[in-house]
Amino acid sequence: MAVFYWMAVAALTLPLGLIALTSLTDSTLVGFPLGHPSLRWYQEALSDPANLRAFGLSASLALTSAVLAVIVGTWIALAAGMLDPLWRWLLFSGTLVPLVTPGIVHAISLRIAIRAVGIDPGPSAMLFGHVVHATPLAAIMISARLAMMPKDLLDAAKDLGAGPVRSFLHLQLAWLGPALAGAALLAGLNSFDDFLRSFFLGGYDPTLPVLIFGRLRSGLTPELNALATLALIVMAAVGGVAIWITVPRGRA
Amino acid sequence: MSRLLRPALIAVPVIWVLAAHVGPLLAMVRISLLDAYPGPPDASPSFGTGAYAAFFAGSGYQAALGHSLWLSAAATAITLVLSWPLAWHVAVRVPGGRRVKRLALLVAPFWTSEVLRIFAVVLMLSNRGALNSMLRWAGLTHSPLPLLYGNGSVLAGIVYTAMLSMLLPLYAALDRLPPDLLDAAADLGASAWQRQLFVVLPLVSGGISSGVALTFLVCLGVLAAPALLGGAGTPTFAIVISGFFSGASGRWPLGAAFSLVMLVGGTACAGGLAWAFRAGLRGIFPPHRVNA
Repeated sequence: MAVFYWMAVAALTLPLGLIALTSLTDSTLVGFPLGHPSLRWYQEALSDPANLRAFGLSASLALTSAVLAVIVGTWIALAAGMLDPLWRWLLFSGTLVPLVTPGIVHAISLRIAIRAVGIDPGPSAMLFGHVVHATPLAAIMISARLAMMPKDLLDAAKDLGAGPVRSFLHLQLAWLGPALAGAALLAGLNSFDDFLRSFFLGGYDPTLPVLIFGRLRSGLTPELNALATLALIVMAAVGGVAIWITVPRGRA
Repeated sequence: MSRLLRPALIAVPVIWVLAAHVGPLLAMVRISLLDAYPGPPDASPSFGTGAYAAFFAGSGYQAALGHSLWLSAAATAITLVLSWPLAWHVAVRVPGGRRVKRLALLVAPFWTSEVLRIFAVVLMLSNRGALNSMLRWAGLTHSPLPLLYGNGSVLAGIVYTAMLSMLLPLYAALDRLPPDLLDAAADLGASAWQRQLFVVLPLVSGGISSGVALTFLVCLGVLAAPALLGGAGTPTFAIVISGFFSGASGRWPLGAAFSLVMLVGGTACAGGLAWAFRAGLRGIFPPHRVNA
């Protein structure tokens, strides 16, 4: 069983490593045999302004949608905590709708919705789509942490004279800290990775995944591998930090 | 203060969920009932069920949906068979202290964009890709095998896109399994197979069925895998749907109606699969038969 586990880890990880491996070449062809090792294509990738714009757009969407998804997710979790079981269940069912809708159906429903309210495809439409996409997971993570909060803490704060605003800021937010950080990182990663919503809600400027998708359709170049490798490094770094923050350490 | 704060605190998320999570699906229902959209600004579209009739009129559309349902079912089955031993190993066999690290190692590849994972599949399967190069190097083939642009490559891409939705529910279910129960079954003489069939499967049937349902729905909605790895044969339903939103205008009602067909049909199939797995795993292997 352990052998199968390590084989699976290799089978899931090595193909991604292949993207990086075939980018480190001086050849104009992608694949094997590899040419001589070179960073030539990284220079090419980083000197193309379209790549840099896509990177910048993806990064700024990830940052803003992470913040917004955490605010919305926290708000849903707090509201759910105040509701009766039936209404809480209804609120959570509605919250989880984007999670159980097939990706393409979700993206198209958002495309139709932004047109209905008169928003053109573009960065703000994508931001909206990414926030909606990330909210269910954020709400789940935050309300799970909120449910573990000892009830007497809030009573104690009340006895000591803290109003609802004060006890929210000093107590609940502090208690939620790790969940908020984890949810923000996951939401940011979700946005940085997102293809379907960006594909249907984007205007003329593509995000990184949409740009890579379009170039994959027109043929492989090592420059694309270099660009994809840079994206992989960002994703791996954010994912690593997410694990490092949310997973309790030093526990047997 | 609190009397004012409470309704405001509750109202905002409720409005958000209604407007942003549920509302777009309702807007899609409305558009699916128009005869042409988007059209010229002065035109007033009339309502009708023409878009749904188009689905039932053209056999090509039904074939595409059938192809998608078949691919999703196959991909779900493959992910279940692959994920079960992995989740079992991490949740049951790996000691508690190392468990999270082992899980993270397994989950990390799924932090990348689905487009990059499809890119990786291309580099594995293309003519100059890793598999063909290895086969040639080993002297097994002389000309590259056409591994890309067929059902096999699409399936590989869908599995690589959607496997996480199976892995996590299975892990969560197996992680909650009381270890004493397995020891007790072993003490009472149950073999490894008997423990799996009569103790473990009935207890985690809920996790399996929710993993199956979720994975099936995720597989159905994948666009990048069939768009980049598919061949000239029957398109998937996702490809058909996306075609209505590019090119000629006025065809959004078809796209909206077909999306709803996918949502309703897919949810019904996913629900049916979940029910069948739950009932099957509990009915065929009921816990009380351990004593029989």
